[in-house]
Amino acid sequence: MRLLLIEDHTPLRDAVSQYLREAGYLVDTAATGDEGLWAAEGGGYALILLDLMLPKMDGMEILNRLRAKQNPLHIIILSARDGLEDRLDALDAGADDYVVKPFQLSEILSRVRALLRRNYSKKSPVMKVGDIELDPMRRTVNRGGCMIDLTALEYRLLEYLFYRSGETVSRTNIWEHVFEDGTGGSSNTVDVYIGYLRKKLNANGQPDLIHTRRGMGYLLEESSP
Amino acid sequence: MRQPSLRRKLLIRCGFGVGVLLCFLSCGVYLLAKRSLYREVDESISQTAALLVNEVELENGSISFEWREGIGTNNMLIADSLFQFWNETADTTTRSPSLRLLDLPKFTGPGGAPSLKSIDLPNGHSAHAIGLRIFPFVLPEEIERMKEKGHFIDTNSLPHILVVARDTEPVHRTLARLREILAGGSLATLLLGLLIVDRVVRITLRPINDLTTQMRDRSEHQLDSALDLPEALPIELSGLAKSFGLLLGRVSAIRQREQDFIRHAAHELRTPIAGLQATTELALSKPREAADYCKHLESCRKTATELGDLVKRLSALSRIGQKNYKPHIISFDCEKIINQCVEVFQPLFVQRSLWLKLQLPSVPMMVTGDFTLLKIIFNNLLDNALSYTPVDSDVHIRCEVFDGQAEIRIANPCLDMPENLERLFEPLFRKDPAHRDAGTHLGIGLTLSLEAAKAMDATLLARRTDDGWIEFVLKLASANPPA
Repeated sequence: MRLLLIEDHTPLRDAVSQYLREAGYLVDTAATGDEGLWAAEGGGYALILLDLMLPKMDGMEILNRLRAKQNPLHIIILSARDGLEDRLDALDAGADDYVVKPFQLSEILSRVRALLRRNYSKKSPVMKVGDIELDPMRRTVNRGGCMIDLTALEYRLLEYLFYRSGETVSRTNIWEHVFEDGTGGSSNTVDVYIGYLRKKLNANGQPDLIHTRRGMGYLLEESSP
Repeated sequence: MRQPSLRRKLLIRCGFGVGVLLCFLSCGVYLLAKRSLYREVDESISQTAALLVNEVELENGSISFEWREGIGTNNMLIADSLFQFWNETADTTTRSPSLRLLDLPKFTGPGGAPSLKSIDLPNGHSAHAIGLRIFPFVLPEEIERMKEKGHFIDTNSLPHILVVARDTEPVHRTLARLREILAGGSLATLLLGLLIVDRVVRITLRPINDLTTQMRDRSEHQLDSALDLPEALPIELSGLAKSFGLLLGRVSAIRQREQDFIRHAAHELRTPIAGLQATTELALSKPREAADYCKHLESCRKTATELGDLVKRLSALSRIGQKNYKPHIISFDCEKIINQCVEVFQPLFVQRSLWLKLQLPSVPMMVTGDFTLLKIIFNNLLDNALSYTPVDSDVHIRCEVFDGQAEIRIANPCLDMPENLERLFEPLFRKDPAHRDAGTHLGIGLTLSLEAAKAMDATLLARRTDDGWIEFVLKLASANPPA
């Protein structure tokens, strides 16, 4: 999952982005408001973490502009402004969540997960497709009760497919959300990693739940239509 | 000690005034009545004496008293009258019936002229009396008769002294009664007056009580909100109430400013604290390589420095802003500080391609001020110029001495000047509210500089030059000898 963090305070930006990366997310950062808006409008993010007081362009301005363009991105506001009015203003302007600084990184992570679940209409913290279970909090995957050892990238790929289970996901989408260099990706790389995943998930001869849709992408589903 | 009370003072003063007035009035009335009564007594005895003068007659060679002959007709005259005749020639005396055998004091005025005086009657009562010398009258027929007989008696050779008196006891009793009436009446009037005055004072002071109640019953959150002045507030109170309202307004503004300042300060502290917290949490979230810890610690150190700087500035602002802060005022060469500060900032200016142009006076620039405070001001102004001057621009520092004042001007182009330059001196003010430049520009520097200038009786202002530059002008007392 690719997230965008727009925060001008360098130590905070570095800490939050690294923490989220270590939690398995791809995090792009922007230090100014205009850079942040440019990146957000470029698309490809599952969620934005947005500071309000930013140089060059205020966080509220970014929020308003994104919502004015009907951008459905989930946005968490990270702000030092703790007034009720500030919170109400931001939430009414279209923010999905509001966190007052200083905060615990673990809280941010939980809120990110919660918003991502909401984003992909997943209520349960542990996602299940067929006999495969994925626990985003513990970052574990098991099939039929057997733990499956995945690399960070394989996990990210499977997690993304889980979030979007039941729908066909294009290779470009996978590339943008899962791979570090999300621009101009190679479809072959995606195919290779899908192959690795299939190999690990179906090691005991279980049915393949990742279905290929020719010319469209991949579909994670219990039974192929 | 009992607190002074406006109502009590008014009551006492009005009561005292009314009391004194009543005393004077009562005394006046009493004295007038007394004089009138005694005058009446005196007139009465004078009239009686005038009548009795004609009651002594020389007849058949002897003195006869007419009033005795007509005791019936003269009853009114002699009934209760007290009078006595003394025949000075024969040394005999004749008394009115009321005197029986008692004597009145015998007196006359000089040469026998009528004289009024207070006397004591033989019965112990006091009385007013008139004493005069009289001569018997003689009828013309009697004169003819004496001439025929050849035995003419001159009435002037038969002087008599007449003393007529009147008991003044009834007058005394009347006066005593009058005194009682006046004293009682005055006391009653005074008490009634006090009650009325008290009522009037209470009604008059009601607006004060209303204002007091309004102030007393204020809840915590509206302590400094404006007074609700009634429309019918007396003119004597409206000035005070308006002044008080203005004072409350000022208090409210100060309180609001303080709250804003605290809110902004808290807000400014949140981000670096969040950075510090996030960095430590990240570092401790899992075992890491030493290099990673070093990186995180370095980040924490940087943030802590930023926080420290912010706290230091806030604390300096608070300290300098205190009323009892006493700057260390001395005379020193201002150029020395300017050169010191410029020396520190010069490399930073060069790094940003900014060209510092310093123009100092030809003579030493001695000023009277606080060395440390002046350094704070210069550092902040230069820091400001360093951050807000566009790249490849000049920054001018001009120092001049005239009219007993030293003037230091720091001017630089500035792209984003606020409309109201005075706002630059507000705590934590930023034209771009989001602009934060790691620690140095927290919106406190200029506030701190202004407070420092005020603390040493100097002035600091910002103005827009004709070229559209921003110029900070610091004026402080010059210690240069007059030219």
